[in-house]
Amino acid sequence: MASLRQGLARAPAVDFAEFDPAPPAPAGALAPGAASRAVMAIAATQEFLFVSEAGAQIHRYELPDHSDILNCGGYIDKLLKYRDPALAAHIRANGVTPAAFADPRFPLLATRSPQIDLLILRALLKLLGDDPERRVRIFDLGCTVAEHYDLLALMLEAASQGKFDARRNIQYAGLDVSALALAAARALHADLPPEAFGLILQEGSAVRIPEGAYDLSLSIGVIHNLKEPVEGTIRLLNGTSFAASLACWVCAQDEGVWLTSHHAAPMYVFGGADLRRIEAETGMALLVGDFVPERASTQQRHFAEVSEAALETLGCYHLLTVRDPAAFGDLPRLKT
Amino acid sequence: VSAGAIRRAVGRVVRARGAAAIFHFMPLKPFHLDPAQEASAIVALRARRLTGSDALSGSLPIADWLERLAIPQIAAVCRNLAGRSDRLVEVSSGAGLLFEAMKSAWSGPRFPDFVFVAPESDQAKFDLLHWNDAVAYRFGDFDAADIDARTVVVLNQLQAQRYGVEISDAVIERVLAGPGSPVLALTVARDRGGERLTVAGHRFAVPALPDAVDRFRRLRPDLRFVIQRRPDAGFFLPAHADDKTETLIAFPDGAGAGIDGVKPI
Repeated sequence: MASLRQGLARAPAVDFAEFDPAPPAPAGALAPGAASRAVMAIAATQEFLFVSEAGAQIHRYELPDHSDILNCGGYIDKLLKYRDPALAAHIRANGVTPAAFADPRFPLLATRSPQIDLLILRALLKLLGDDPERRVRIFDLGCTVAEHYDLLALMLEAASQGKFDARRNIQYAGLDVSALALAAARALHADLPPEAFGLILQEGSAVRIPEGAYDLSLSIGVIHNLKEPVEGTIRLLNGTSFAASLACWVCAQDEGVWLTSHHAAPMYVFGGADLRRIEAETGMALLVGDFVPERASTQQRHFAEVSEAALETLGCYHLLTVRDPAAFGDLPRLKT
Repeated sequence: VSAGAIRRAVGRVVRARGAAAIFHFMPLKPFHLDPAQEASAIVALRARRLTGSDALSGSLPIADWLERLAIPQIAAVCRNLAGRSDRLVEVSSGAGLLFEAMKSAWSGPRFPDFVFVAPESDQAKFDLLHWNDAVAYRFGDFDAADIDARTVVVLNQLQAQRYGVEISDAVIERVLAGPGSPVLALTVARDRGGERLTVAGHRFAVPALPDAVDRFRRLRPDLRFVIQRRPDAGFFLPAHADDKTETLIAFPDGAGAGIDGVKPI
């Protein structure tokens, strides 16, 4: 035995059959005036649960539970995939195109975040097309580990055949409420100069962005976590001079609704009236990149106490909000 | 109950506070589990080292994860060996949590040459989390013939098994028989040894505590042994009603000073 690595082996593994300890109720919740739509006193844990064929619990093992750890781990994994040399080679070879982003060899590219990053890239390229030497100011609300920066940097370089470079052409500011996520973002981007990359520790509703402080902004899966979701979104958009991309969860009602997430946090699902208010108070047009029904989501258990029937009434818009809709004429305007 | 008859659910479990009944379940992906714990702990330890503040690590259940992996104890042993080592080799798997802890814990004049011996599939994540930090390392392999008297070799089975990786008996025997300073961290059964199944579904041969101590002592008479006071109970499914596992840490005589949370054997 000369090589120590040769002495490492994969242990044999078994695939356990899965079970669902709490299937959603078939009906109820989300109806206007429903008795209970938000559970206030809940306790969340991360667990491995084992039951016998008869359903008797035979073992339970907990992991330390904290939403920041879940998020940090999940987004570091995403960043790792964004920095995969094979993915970079794929995008450089095939371009930043819908077909390249639907390639089954890179399923991550077909998921929500990269699809919405495609929208903001269009706006970024428009700004740089007008002034190739400028540094576009981008604000990322709820940036976690700043993984969007990496994909945008890769897409920008590939889409411009190397003409543009994120280090030179982007001034990125990421905001998050998680100190852990920002510590990871800092550690994973320690090589970037401060004029290209900055981070802000703050709750998203609390931030006061001067009007037009940023050229572009993005918020993927975060505006519904704000303490003041509609007002916070309006402030975000008013601080954005050109375009913003949003993942915006909506319900079928005109009035938005507060739900409870799996980590006991309140989550707001926007209603039609909220979207009309956002348009009216920001002067921006809401253009639709895509709509994904919650039924088609890869994670349908995000909301606690939402029934199977209620899931049918939820979905997520991939929005590009813009001051000049004519510049994105192929994207339909959201009918609010 | 045989493994084939067991059904498993892994995820976020939500209960009304104080109640036993589950009213919501969100399945988690593998990257949300041990890799998330390890990466978060690395980030928190890094922040503490660079800022001198415990604000981040103290506000999250990071210490719990470190204790499960016996990181403070192994790091303390390695620190005690600083005076007799120029090189630190960790045989394990994962993203380098012990390495990160060692960066803070090391008390020698300079950090030793560090080599992380792990499956190739670990490299991208290891590099992601360490490449731009100030402490140099090498990820890859290490020739057992290069282990000299100033080499500390950590056989970190405790960490490796989290990712389903087993350190072979041949490696253990080679390292224990060599001239370096070996440090072992592994799971043992309190009474009967045998095959055990982790919650992740990996099968490992788990030796009985007395058998492991006897075997390692025969190979390396100067080894000293401690077990953790609060081992990571439950990571292995119990094979029988009274089945309990322990965390065994072995190290050369003289390296055990100031290790908290352990009992000598």
